[in-house]
Amino acid sequence: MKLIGMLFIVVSAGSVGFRIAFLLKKRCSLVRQFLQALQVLRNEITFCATPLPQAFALMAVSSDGTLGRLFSDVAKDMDRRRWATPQAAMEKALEQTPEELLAPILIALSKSLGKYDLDAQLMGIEAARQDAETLLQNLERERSLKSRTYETLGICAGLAAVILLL
Amino acid sequence: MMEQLLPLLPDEHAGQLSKMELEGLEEIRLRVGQPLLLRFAEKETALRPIVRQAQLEELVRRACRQSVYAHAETLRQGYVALEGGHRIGICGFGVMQDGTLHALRAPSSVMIRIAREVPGCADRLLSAVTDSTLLLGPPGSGKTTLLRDLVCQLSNRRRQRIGLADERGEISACVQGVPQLQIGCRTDVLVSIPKSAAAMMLLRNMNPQWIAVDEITAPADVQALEQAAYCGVRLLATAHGADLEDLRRRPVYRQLMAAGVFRTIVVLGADKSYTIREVEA
Repeated sequence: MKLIGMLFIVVSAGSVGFRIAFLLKKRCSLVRQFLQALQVLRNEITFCATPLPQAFALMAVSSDGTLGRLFSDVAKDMDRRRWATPQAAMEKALEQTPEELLAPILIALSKSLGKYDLDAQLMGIEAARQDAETLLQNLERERSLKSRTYETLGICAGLAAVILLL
Repeated sequence: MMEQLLPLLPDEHAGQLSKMELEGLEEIRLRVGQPLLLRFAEKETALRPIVRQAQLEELVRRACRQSVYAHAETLRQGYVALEGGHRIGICGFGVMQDGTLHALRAPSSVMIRIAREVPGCADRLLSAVTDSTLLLGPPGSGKTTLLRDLVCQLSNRRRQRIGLADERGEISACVQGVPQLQIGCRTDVLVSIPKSAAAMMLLRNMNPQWIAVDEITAPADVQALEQAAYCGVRLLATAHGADLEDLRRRPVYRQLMAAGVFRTIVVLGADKSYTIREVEA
């Protein structure tokens, strides 16, 4: 019984550490997904002249989770309300599906869309891509530095607790 | 119909329009510094306040669903096609590059032309349409409406295979590949492709018995129609003109008439009535 209790404490504390490490990994994959979605947007605008509501719908298909829901909300809102600018639709979508990590980049991107000038929009997409790349680099660095630390720390904390309880 | 158009208009005008009886409305005109003008079949109504330039810019953006780049080609030609077959004609400041029109900016006036589907308007005409037919009439005489119903009836009632070259999307009003207006169950439609190219694509790929095109305007259109006619396909087309004399006067149409492509000419009047003329081979 005592052994099972000790094992339980170690596993619980360890899982906390692993969970934090997993969250770091998830944030990186979210930004990678966003970069892929940006590529979809760029291709749709440049090569297929796809209107923004449909382009956002395609971005939603190429993403999943929070990002997919967010793009889907933007697409639906722009489709329903013709007068809705990409910025207004994005802000509304972010209220419904909060996404703190990418929110500043998404707002900046949406501000550059819907203009008369295609080049200005492509520059906006490029700026968003560069910002996301920088963010991804920072997150990757953080992950490589801290991920293992959190995992080890979790298990060690569990072991320390067991020792103290003994 | 107005549910699609009201969201495009400035809020103060849309509010007034939503409370009005709009039966028979044919056009909505907005000019900078002028009140919005509603043109019905037999009257005009002006709506204040006057229209501002920024409102026209916004109208065009809304019409393009905030995606002006997606309509660059038609904007260069001065129009945007809307869902439901409606069309927005735009005048403004042309930006030229290397001698060609690159873009149309700062719209100064906008005309929303309301598409109308009149099922059965070609009933009387159908029996006369046995060979290539040209619908001739002045702007607003109902050529496109008549052509649409003719295409639909030939396709449904006569069971003919029709290839429809709908360059401006006004005949079929296709949205995401789905025609919003009745064009018949045996009709294949190509949208947003220049008529001359579309006619040849239909001819090569879809094995049509008839090819229908709206508004012959360029020598390239005439050439493509001539080529199609020589391949044994019958043609349905519309052209601007008040009477047969106009056809003979304009070089583009003169060439078409000389080639003997059309055997039946339907001359439409401004009151939307029409007379059928047979042309000697």
